[in-house]
Amino acid sequence: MSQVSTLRRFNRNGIHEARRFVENARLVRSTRPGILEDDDLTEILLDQEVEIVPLPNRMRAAEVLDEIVSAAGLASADVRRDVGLWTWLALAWLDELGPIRPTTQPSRFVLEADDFRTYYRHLLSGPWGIFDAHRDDPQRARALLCTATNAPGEVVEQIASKQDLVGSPSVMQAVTDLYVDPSTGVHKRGAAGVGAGSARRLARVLQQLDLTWDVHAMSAKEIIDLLPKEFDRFRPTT
Amino acid sequence: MTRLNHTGRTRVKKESIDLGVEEIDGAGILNLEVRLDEYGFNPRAQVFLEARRQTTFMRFDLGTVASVRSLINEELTAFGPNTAVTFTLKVVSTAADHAGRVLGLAKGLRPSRSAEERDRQGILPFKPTEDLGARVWRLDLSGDEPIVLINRSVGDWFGFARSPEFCALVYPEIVRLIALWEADNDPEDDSGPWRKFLRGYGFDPVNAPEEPEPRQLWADDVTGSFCMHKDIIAKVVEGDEE
Repeated sequence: MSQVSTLRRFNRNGIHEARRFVENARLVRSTRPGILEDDDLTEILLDQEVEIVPLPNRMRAAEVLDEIVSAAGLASADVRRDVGLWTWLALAWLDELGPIRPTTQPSRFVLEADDFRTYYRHLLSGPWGIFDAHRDDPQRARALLCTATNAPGEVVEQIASKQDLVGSPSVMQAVTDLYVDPSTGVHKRGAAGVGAGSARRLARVLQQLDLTWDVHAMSAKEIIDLLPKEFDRFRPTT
Repeated sequence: MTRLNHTGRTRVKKESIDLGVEEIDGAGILNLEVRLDEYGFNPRAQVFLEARRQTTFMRFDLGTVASVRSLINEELTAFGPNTAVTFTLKVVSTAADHAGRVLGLAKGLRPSRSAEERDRQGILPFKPTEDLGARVWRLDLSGDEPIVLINRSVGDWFGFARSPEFCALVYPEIVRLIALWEADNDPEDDSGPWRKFLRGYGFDPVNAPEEPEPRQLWADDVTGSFCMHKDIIAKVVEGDEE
């Protein structure tokens, strides 16, 4: 298993160079960037080895990254917008998260922390942000954390992009109860589609319900009970 | 085409809400005052303020309509410093047959700018950011007022945003995007300065066509009118001659 020696974050010039690396890597096959330990482009956050362990799914990625953030003594509120840190981490894990292809969105690797349209797409900051928001019970957000770290999928795209849904405990529990098969821990078939009952439809319906009902004060079951018939095949059986 | 609100929900006007956030010692400090007398809500209905940014969410219980409480120096503990938090005010029924139903709503609230800031920035605030990658500018329409984000890497971002080139090339597109944004906004909300601005050019966003293509043409007409009244071509020619 490869290792990097110390936890770092990119400085302003480092972020610029990282973005340039990602943009270039979209055009030619990505290789390991040589800027991760450049003292002119990075600053050391923790003088301790960071092991590049496998991150098979978003839940595992969030747990590993949370350990790293905690070890560095960084506060959640500061970490969320730390573009240099998340961009450095994504490139440090490039072998796991890559390769970068022409279709790869740069925001998957370079955090755009203040852009509400793309912040959630970052491959590492995205799952950690959801984990952090539901820290008291991360399993309730399993629907957004059960997919492969390098391929978040349509359920994540549809729900994580809605700021008025993703932070709500009851809404997240409802999404997980609907779409995660408790016997396998992964999405039920059809959840990621575009048809009736899909996550794409759910995001729209929930946003409408949010205008009519105080969904944040409801239980997950009460929310699911309000959903129209098209969601019947996803309703939990118990 | 007139859009109807079938939910029976009342829009709480922004004038009814004084909301300010100050940065003190790295923390966001919230002050809030709400006036609901004019709406005729059930006095026992509950009032909540929700604060959110991305995945972060806080909710404040403001009591009932009959005795809605103000927030004074309330710390936004879940959010980091200098964070653009968006707020929603909800009035929620407690009646047995409608419990949990939203009776009144004000969405997309942002802290009001001070009078001094408004005088200085006008209706279109500019903000430097390091978040635009290689892009020079972007119009942020995620809150209740448009903000022009300028890439801090351009150096003197403030001077850049006021250069004749920027005004000639970018402002028309900003006006086009804002016209479309206003056309999508609540037709009953007449409080925003941009609606007044667009009506000043003879274009009422409430009457914008609903179909996508005519709507785009309508926005193009708004842009053309803006450019004509601001004499954009003359500004470019003058710039070339200098």
